[in-house]
Amino acid sequence: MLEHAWIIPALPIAAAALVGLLGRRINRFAGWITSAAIAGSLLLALRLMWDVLAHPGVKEITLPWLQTAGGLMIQMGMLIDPLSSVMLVIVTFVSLMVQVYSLGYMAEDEGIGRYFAFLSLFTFSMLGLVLSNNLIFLYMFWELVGLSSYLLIGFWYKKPEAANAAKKAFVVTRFGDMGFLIGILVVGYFLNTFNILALGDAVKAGKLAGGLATAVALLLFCGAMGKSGQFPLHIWLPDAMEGPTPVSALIHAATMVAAGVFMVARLFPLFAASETAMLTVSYIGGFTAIFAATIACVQDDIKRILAYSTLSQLGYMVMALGCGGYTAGMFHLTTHAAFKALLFLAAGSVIHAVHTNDIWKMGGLCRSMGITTAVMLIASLALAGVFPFAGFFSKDEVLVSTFLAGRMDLLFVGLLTALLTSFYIFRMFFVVFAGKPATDKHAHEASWVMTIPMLLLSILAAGLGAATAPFGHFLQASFGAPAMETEYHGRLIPALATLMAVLGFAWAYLVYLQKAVSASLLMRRFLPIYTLLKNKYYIDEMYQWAVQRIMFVVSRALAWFDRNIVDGAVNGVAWLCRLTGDGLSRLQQGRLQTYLIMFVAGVVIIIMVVLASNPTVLAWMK
Amino acid sequence: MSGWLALLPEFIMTAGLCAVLVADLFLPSERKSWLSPLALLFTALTLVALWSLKPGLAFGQAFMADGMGIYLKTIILLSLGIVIFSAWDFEKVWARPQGEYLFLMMSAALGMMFISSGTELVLLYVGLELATFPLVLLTAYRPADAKSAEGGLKYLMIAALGSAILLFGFSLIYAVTGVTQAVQLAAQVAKGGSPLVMAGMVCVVAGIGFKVALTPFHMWAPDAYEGAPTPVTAFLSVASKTAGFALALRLLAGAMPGLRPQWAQAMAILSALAMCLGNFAAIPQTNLKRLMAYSSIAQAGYIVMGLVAFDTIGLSSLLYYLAAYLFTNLGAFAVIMAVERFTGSSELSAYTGLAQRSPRLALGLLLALLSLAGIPPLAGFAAKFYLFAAAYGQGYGWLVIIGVLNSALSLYYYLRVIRVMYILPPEPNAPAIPKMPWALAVAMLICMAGILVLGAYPGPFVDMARAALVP
Repeated sequence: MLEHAWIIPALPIAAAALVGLLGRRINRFAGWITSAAIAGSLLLALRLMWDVLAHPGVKEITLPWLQTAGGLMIQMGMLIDPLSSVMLVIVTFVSLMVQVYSLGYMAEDEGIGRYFAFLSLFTFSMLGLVLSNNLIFLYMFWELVGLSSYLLIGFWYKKPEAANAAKKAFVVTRFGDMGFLIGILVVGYFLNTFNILALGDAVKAGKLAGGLATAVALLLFCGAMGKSGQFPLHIWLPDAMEGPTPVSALIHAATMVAAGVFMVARLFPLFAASETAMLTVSYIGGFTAIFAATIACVQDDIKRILAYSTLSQLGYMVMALGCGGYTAGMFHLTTHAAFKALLFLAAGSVIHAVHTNDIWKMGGLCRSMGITTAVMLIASLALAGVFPFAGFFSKDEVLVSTFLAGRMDLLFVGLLTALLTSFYIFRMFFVVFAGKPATDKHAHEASWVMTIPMLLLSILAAGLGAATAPFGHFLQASFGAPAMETEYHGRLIPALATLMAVLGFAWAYLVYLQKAVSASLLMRRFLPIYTLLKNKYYIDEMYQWAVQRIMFVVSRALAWFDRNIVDGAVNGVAWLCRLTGDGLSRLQQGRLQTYLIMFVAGVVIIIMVVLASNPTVLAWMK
Repeated sequence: MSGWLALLPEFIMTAGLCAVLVADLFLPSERKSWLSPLALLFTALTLVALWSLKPGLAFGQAFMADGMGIYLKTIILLSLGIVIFSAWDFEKVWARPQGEYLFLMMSAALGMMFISSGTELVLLYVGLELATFPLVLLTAYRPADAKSAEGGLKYLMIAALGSAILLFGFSLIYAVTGVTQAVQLAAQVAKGGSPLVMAGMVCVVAGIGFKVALTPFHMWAPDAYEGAPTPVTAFLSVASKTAGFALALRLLAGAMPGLRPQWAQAMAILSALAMCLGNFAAIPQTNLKRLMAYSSIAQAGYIVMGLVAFDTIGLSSLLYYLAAYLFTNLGAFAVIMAVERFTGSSELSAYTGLAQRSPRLALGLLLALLSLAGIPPLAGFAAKFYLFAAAYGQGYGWLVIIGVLNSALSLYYYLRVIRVMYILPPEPNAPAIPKMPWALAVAMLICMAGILVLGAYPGPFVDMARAALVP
């Protein structure tokens, strides 16, 4: 199976090409074709994981791709180890769920063929990224992921918000990608290879150390910050919900934001080579976790709450990786993929039924939408980290990893975030599903193509925790995984985490269900804080200010320089080229005699040049 | 007798062209459409024979069917096949007899096959004549069209001069060394070249320069390319150029390796001249066929760099480039033929807004032009990359710099065509472009697949080119 792993990404891209080329004629079947392709990929990915489970270890399959005389060889290849096999399953599974769900959700959209083609392109890019065995291909697929997210976020391109959100996502992640690319080039320059395994060896041999290691790790981390929405490059993710809701599920769970975390795990040895870099990574993660969680507490848009929740959870993952918690970070990514996809799909089902994103215009939906309520509850419990749901186990591992790394401050931040998480998600849950309906319109449960994916995901969101220990052991065999962390069997951290979840739940319960404490009173009492959070710490405004006051001034100066000096030079060169071209083509004036003379003259001149530059001939002439 | 078996592909091609000629005589006019399948059948048979062939010698070491010969002949036959596909109903479009056209094309291909395997001066010369003169006739195939007649005449005169100079070179070489067989010649030349041999060598270089259209021996190309019926132009630009490089490989690399510093010097100069002239002169062109003529002059300039480098990497890059060039250039010409069929013009103005009138044709030409310009991940990029790397590795840094600058320059006119197709809106009274005939679509699809596959995954094809160099 290993040699045939390339089929896993090949199926979705083939389906995308087919649907894209056949165009509108097959709109009706487009989703079925691409779903079937992804289902095939999922089966193959499961089979691949089965094989890797039987023989855990790192395998590389390569084919020569480009080779220079200088000896630098770039290969086309796949790196298959537990890490990539797990990611393949996550990506194909979530993609399949999203595709099937979209069959119902997008049924009435006229661009449905284009939608499914883009969706499959997205999956293909992510699968390629996961399988890449070298930085060049990793970067190519990384950019393809960026491109496909742009296409999907801006899917309803006639809506200005969607077009702007797509642009924002593309431009903001581009800032991170720039660092990433520089990092890759620096790595290639100093270590003379782009192959990930070879890089691991080079790090082991101590070729990457000191300031260079820190610089490389931080540059590479820039890419992860952009894609995985770490502060301060997080601003694109909440806006990205302008895309269709299933796309948000895909972006938040499996394809886009997971790319950054996966990349850090994939190149873990390069990060682990620098103490400073690891410290920076963990603090950025921790800060993002609590920062985004506070914002999520006051949002009114159901998808924005979930978006900030994703940022916060990504912060957890990055924090864990920064603390050396390789398996903890990846396990949280796995469980998060399940419950966050579920949250988004359930939210989509709600939006589909009530045609609004505002939680205050919903309410009382538990009566009309039983399945959606149930799965949303499971997902919320998982997100809040309530035993025995999946999130409990993975969050526990994350917290333990900070504890084992001796970062008590981060452990505290993590616990506080857990409290906030539990609060904001139950706030959303109670407002949307409990209480009295806000409108008279009667909401309906979604059709089976939408409920079945949700039910399947809810099984994972509920039960994935049982896989905690085997998952950890399995992932240990991955390339670059650090040696098993010291086992932690204490009860204190799980107990504290549970306490936090319960506290958050109680808080939301009292305020939004029992209304024992008036929400508006709280709001007025803490008005400055509320305003600050409501405006997301004014980060977007700060960017706006920076862009307008600083960048535009510099830009205008550069634009002047560009328009007058650079363009002038370019136009001058172009003009010169045209002139030369005109002159040279005038040689071809059509007179045969001239042609023949030039021919003979050419021969004579070359004979003279060759003979004259040959010393033996000169000697012979004398 | 076993030596004759090495000639089997050539025999089949000969039988094929006779069959086409005879069938043309006896078929009633409504059955003339059988001629194309017949020619294609024999081309395919020749390819099969070629690939099942064991390397061998014939005509007492004058003819060698080795890996390189097989590789070059494959390219020539593939281009013949693709051109037959793309001009399936030649007679309908060009209003000239199909049988004679096919007969002449196949004769030229036969000549080129002999060049690809020729290891003796006289055989090479005869092959060259056989390869050139049918194409001269085909260039002037539409005497009613003044451009066709003019192109044919110019091609004829310059071909005659080129052939005379080549022959003069041969005679100088023979006068000094007294041999005409490649291996013996190589041994004689290795003893030290006299100025006469060097002068003869330069004449040979000029003959090759004429065949592949290197400056200043390129003067026939723009007129012939523009005047010839487009299928002939396509064949001229790919197969004839391949034959020219076959001539170079056999004569310079095979028979005169001892004079490598001298001919590499001459070729490097010609390469630089061709790149500069081809790219600069392409800029003001308004006719796409003429533009492609200058482009192909520049392309010949790039390809020669592989010969100049003259190591395994250089020569295998040259062979690989020829394969990439086959698909790229024929792809571009397939689109030109399609547009010409429906609008009757190959002027740039006929392409205005093509992306809206026929998105598929526009996409095809876009791919081909970007590949010619050397944009990844298309075939032209990988090919150019290998060539430049080879020349750089052999110390021709200055030539590589000229090549890279020229690549940038070439984007100027390729993008100009793309701009016309994609950015300008179609004119209101532009002729409609209906569905493409199936055979032309097949030709185009083959070319596009080649451009994409060779570009995305060059590894095995480079290995194939490298294997072809092993004697």
